[in-house]
Amino acid sequence: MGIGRRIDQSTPTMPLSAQGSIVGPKNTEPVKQAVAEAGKDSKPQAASFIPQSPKYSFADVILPARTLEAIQNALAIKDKSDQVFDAWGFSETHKHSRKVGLNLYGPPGTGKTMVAHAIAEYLGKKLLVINYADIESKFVGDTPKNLTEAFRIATDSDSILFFDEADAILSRRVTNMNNATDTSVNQTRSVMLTLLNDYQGVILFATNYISNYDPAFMRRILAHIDFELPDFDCRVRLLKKLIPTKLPHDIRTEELAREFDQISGSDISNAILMAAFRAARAEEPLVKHEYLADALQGIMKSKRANNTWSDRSDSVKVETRPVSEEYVKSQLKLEELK
Amino acid sequence: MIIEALLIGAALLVGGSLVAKYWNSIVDWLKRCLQKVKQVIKTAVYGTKVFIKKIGEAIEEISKHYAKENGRWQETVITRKVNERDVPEDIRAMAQKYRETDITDELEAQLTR
Repeated sequence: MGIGRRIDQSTPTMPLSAQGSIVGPKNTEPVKQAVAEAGKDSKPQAASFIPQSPKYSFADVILPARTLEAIQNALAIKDKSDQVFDAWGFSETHKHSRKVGLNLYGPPGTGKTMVAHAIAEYLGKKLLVINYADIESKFVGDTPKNLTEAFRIATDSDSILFFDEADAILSRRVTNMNNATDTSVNQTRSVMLTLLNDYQGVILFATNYISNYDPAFMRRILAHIDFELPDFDCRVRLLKKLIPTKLPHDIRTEELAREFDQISGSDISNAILMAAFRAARAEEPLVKHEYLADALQGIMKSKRANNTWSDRSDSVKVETRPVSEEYVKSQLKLEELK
Repeated sequence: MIIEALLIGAALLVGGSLVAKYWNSIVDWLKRCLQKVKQVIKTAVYGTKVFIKKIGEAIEEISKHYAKENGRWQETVITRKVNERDVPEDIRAMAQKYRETDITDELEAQLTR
């Protein structure tokens, strides 16, 4: 998949024949070679790999109590690492376990990216945000090079690595490699595994599709944190927080929170803005409750049109995504798919 | 795994018991799911699995359909919520909070009786 070309357009550095032998984490020598190769001419090449200051803190984030507790538990591992590793001697028995990998998964708009920023802010570090488009290259061998460069910059700048939409890079490897693309996918996954093994910093992943992760990555991630749609209390808090204090309105937040139970924080944010513009256009002195209710209703309707169909009084959600053959076999408990 | 032919040819369970109503409702729903999947990916469904999950006071029914389109496998997940009281006791007891429980074998047993 060619998603643009990065600034350094050198010729492909990895001959195809060299990559065919890279099939998984057990055969690590060729992968390490690829990592070393990738690192050789990894000059700073893209403006996209620039660590940024966190944009949000935990004060900005509204999450269900269970999600917040899971994040706090995971962060305690970093806070207490001196005690556990140095004072209690785990640095002898768990030499490579200081790294913290957290996977934030759940529906869109539930605050995963905000939390990544908040974690960086909490730990007093910058955030190096990596999107799939930043690392993927149509030139064979360039994707591992870009990955290696991202890890190098994160290490050098003591930043937190954040892979947004991480299923694109952590998805399952292909077992029946039929073409160069399959080989390249496996090579990238294997390089990623090696980089993860060696990396000692904090790394965050965010995804809507955790089920597509390769099990090898699942094992290397310390904690998986489930981001659910906000519950009633969260919806009330979100509405109250996202309605500006200066805004004249007659919005009954609890009523809306009760009525709209399948909306995300992002939906609420958009709806409030839409309601405000509607009131401004109509030259109303305040934003009416009905305007926000209509905006939320519109969002719900568009979601249904996009993903659902009516089934009795219940809404039915439909999601389709590409999966690997291995995944289908494992789900259907079949040795072969005829 | 449930194949499409089994669902299409499934006869309704006789009787007005909760058990019969429940399985008939699932079969009816799955038939409509298959139609929906074909609208989305426009190819035959290879196999279907059915799961349940407890969410608050409701039970979520999840059907997963696997089909190959243009050489790539696709998973279509369709979920709906049903009221707990519409679910027979033995199935309700299997439902776990926030975790999918596979009830494909139970459904298959009903379909092949």
